[in-house]
Amino acid sequence: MDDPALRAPHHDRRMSIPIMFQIDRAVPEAKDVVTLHFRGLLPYRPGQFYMVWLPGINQKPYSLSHHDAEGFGITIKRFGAFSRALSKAKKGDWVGFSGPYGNHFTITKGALFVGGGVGMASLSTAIDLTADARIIIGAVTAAGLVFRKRYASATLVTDDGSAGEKGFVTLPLQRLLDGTKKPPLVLACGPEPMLARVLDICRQAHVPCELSLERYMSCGFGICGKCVLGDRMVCYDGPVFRGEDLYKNEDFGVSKREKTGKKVSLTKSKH
Amino acid sequence: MLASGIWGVSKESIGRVLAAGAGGAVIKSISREPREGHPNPAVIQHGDYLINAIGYANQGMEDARMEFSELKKLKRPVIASAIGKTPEDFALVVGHLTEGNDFSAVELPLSCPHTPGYGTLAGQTTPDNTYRITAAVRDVTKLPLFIKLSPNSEGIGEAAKAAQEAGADGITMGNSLGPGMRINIETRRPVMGFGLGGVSGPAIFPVLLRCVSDVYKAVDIPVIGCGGVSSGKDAIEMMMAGAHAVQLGSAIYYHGLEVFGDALQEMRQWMGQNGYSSVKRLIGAVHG
Repeated sequence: MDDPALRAPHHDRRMSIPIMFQIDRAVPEAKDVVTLHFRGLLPYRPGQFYMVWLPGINQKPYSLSHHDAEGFGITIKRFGAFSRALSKAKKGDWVGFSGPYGNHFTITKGALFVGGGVGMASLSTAIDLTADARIIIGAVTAAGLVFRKRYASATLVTDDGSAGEKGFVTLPLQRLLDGTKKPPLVLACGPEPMLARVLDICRQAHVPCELSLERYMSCGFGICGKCVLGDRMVCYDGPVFRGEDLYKNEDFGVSKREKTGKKVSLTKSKH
Repeated sequence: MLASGIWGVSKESIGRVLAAGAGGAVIKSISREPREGHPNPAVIQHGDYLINAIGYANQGMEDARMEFSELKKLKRPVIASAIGKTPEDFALVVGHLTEGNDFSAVELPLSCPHTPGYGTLAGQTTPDNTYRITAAVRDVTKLPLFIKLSPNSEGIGEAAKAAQEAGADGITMGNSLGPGMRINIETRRPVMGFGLGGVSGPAIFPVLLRCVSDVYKAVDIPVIGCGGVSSGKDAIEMMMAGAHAVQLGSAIYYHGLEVFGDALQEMRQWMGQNGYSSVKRLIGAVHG
């Protein structure tokens, strides 16, 4: 975990007071999922995140789902009051960005990406930089699949079988890891119970993995202490964790903390 | 040692800060009931300062008592921090938190500048209220009791004296400065979720250094210096102003957790080079 290659430099190019951008366009992606596109430049390495501020409302962490020479974007799933308000924002509305924070994925030729639901949003910029990437996209139903058009070659999985294979992302993952063309690395983001299963399968197959996690944050830069995960901090040590470092973490796949700092079971989460 | 409000949400986090070299740590302040705190942005940073308005988010004394059990395993002093709206509240939380737990001391922040009902917004740092709160908590604990004051007030020495008279064992000087604010000029709105917040970081170091000097002159009990300390040389300066011990917090933003080990190393090296065999000769050195 203290491998400098995976650690975010404390003083990177981060700005910890919001820089403002106006929404250029809003694009529906899937059921309850929308991408807000902005014109302009932000420093970013795939896997990092920005604290995204909707003035007068609140501020939450988001990875960039689009990042190129013209602009950048964030992909939002409507969960609570903030994501609802953000997903309703219109062209021309001001949105603030503080960051970038956290560490990043390791870009590896031939890597396998496993995205559950809106977890695809934090993987997509890494996919775009990866040669010969293989991709598994999962969702509860066909309507919830994120970026299926953007990554037309991806293997699709839905809980109800309404698109692609019926079941969970772990099925095609297991097959690919059992096959003759084992990927050198698995990168995954999605609901934590899914990530816990991905970690188990990768460990059994002796394939390294990097998992991007989410916790409630006040600051995003290693001060407030709220995103504590066992003896780690998601903003300070992550959000990308190597599977081998999570395996013994007492909170991973088990518990999270509420705004008050109270530890609660992950299964009580509405995520 | 680690200042209150930074990292100290869990025992594991405290353990990690201690492992990084901190000689002790103060937990996140605990209230009677759980608190969600203020909306985000709750912490921002620009240049040499941070502004925070966390709003005393904490899990409340019932859960905190479990969270901070078996502290002896951490092998270094962990200091409880308790808040309340009344002297009775403070006493209740301190009694509850420390009962059956291995805290080494208690710190009472009377000085948060951004939470209605608490700290400076409730007048808790006036000499009268400082006396009342300190006396109420003195009745319920035998642990060393530190009172954390605000750098804002003119009569810091008076508040410190009141704490001493009421039985405090030390003064933590002090809390964040302000409150301050920033305005987002594009949207003409305050940036902070709460509109304002306490200012910390290297920019406030000169102010807190002067406050430590004032308190050192006003009382006979030890002073713990806190505010903008980011290096071993800063810590030495704080001690020369009168601090017996020094807390760090915002420095983690600029230097990471390594700042604790690095600051200690720098202190040892400087002291060695300048003929100091013990920190005792540093304390209050500016006062002759």
